[in-house]
Amino acid sequence: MRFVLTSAKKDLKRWARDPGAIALWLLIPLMIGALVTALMGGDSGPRPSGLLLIADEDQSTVSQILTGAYGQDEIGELIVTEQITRDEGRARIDAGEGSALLIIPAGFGDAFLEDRPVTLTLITNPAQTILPAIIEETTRAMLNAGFYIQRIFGEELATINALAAGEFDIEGGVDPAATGALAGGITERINDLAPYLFPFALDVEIVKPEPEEGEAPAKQVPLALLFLPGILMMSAFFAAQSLSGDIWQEQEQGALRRLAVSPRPAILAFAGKTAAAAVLLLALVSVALAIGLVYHGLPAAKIVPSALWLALSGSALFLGFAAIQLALPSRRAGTIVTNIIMFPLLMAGGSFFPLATMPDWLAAVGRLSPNGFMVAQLTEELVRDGLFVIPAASWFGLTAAAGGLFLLAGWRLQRVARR
Amino acid sequence: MIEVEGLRKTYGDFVAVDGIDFRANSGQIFGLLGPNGAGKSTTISCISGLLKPTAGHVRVLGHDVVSEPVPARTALGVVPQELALYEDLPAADNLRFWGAAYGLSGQALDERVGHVLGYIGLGDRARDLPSKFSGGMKRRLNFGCGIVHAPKVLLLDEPTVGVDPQSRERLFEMVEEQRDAGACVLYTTHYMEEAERLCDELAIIDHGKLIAGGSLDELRRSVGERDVLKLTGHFPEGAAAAAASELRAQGLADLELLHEEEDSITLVLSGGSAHLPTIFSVLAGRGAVISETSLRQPSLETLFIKLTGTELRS
Repeated sequence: MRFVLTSAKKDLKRWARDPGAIALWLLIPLMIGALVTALMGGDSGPRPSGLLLIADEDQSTVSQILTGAYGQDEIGELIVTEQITRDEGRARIDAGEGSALLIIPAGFGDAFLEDRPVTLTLITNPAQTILPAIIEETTRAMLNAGFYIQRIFGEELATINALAAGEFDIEGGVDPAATGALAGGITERINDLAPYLFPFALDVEIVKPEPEEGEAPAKQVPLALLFLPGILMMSAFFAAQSLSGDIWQEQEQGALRRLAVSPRPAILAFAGKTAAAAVLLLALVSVALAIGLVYHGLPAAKIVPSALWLALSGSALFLGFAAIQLALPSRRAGTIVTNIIMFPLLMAGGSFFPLATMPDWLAAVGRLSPNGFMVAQLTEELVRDGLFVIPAASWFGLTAAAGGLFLLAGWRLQRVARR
Repeated sequence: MIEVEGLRKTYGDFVAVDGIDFRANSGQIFGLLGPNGAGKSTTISCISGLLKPTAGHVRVLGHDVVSEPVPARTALGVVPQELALYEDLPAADNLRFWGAAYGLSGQALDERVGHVLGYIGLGDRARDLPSKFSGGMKRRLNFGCGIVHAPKVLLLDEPTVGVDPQSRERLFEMVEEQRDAGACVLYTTHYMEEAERLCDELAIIDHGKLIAGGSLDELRRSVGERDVLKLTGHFPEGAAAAAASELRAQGLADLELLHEEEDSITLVLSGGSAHLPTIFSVLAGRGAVISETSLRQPSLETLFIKLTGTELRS
């Protein structure tokens, strides 16, 4: 046991002499994480919204209904409108201000009510891509809705227009016969449509799985938080893969050969190296976790189970990579093969893109990968309430796998040391 | 002490060591001499336990290296031919790690590390990394790592390869000090002068076989007082043998033809320099053309040439 500790101290001292490598294992995943979070818009802060400049040259009831529709409900959160003249609007769009300019020509309302052709002009800002497209689609949807309203209530709309123009005015107000005819016409149209509208012919039922008894209901998890477990695991992956290559350095320096003729079995020194890797991984992921937990506002106590899980996962990965390295004839082959294995595992296992954002079939494959399993468990630990959410079976399973890999790598090491 | 009995190591059809026997005693430097590829390193690897012998036995302080590896290895200190150091670990930590690998700990380990650092002349560089050391300093640290646990048996596999003359001299002194302290030192080399300088007893090995053994004096006596004369040029078939017979008939009674090829011959005779004109004349009469002459005084080198017909470094 004393020699295991001596070996662990020896390796920690050696690795500590290369702080640049340790910083990279931390910085690269954090940089990727920061980039992804920025792309996703983060967890909070103002949502991006498009500015729609409207030049309403008609100023009719219909044009006001149209411009008012942009401020309704969810569309209103995405699109901010500003009334403006045509020339000012062109100048603002040319200056890159605003996402689009909508020009409603004079006579638009009459043309709509009388079912005459009319052209709306929408000028989009070429410097923007997503928001102008949203405005364009929204406008198109509104015009489609207007077309169907015109088809169904065309006569009634013409009557309303005439009423507004005072064509049915009589002394003391509006002619009650005209308003009665209008109400009768609308009722008749609705009665015609009633079989399709009440109830609506097409019904969509959205079913969510009921939480099992004793199970907390699923909560909405911000997308950026879903990236955190994968990024943390990526850090552990990079460190584990790099540390496993240290075996070649010992071999090239002749230390393994000298160890092979000492009375202590080489596997004891390897146990020390594994312990050193676990300690280094624990320190590394604790720093990364602390940053992640603070950023996402998660409870600080989560750091204990999460860091332990990450360190165990990283140690198992280190042993797996070491077993692969030791099965190969050279450092070069070891580096190439472990890299070839690492990157697909990172991709499929949810480190670059969360499993929740993948197609179902790919997520199912990813969960079967070592990285996918480790990330899925860590995600549970991070997003669910309570501490040590990861099932005991997962801890035991991963520990057993690490034990098996240790024996395999240790056995190979005894042979490689004699080369 | 080291006892080697019928040691044989094969790799498929290739025989690296072919049934060698020798015994190296405590307080003695035992030299294993032979050209590159003779089987010296394989023999050392079998003694250290790195390789398992195909046949035969090796005992270190009476412990069989195969059946009792732990006591045998604990008694051994190994200084390998290639450097075996952690270049990214300070010198003192290197010694501390290898001392721990041989069971030292606590104060005993600290004392040995301090002692060895001074002994190898790196007391003031204890915290420095070997990667910043000169070749000679690395060799001394390599030696220190082999003796940090004060082994009773020390294996040195060509420890002076690539070492500058000053460091080589210091290494010789340290090896002699280990011997004087009672250790059994097994020293392999292909440098004759090292063997003559250091070794109390020698075994000469070639093609995996032991071809001569004994003390330095015994081996020198076996060469006799005769010089070794090597002539290079062109020698028609049978010319050298006929010339040797003629020269013996002319009074060079102890002349012996050791080796004969088309482009070189090797002769052994007393007072070689005085008889060179006669030898050249007789050979020329037999159609030989001599382009190069080499005359050597009796030494281990000449013994090796006598035994194998080739020079040690060839």
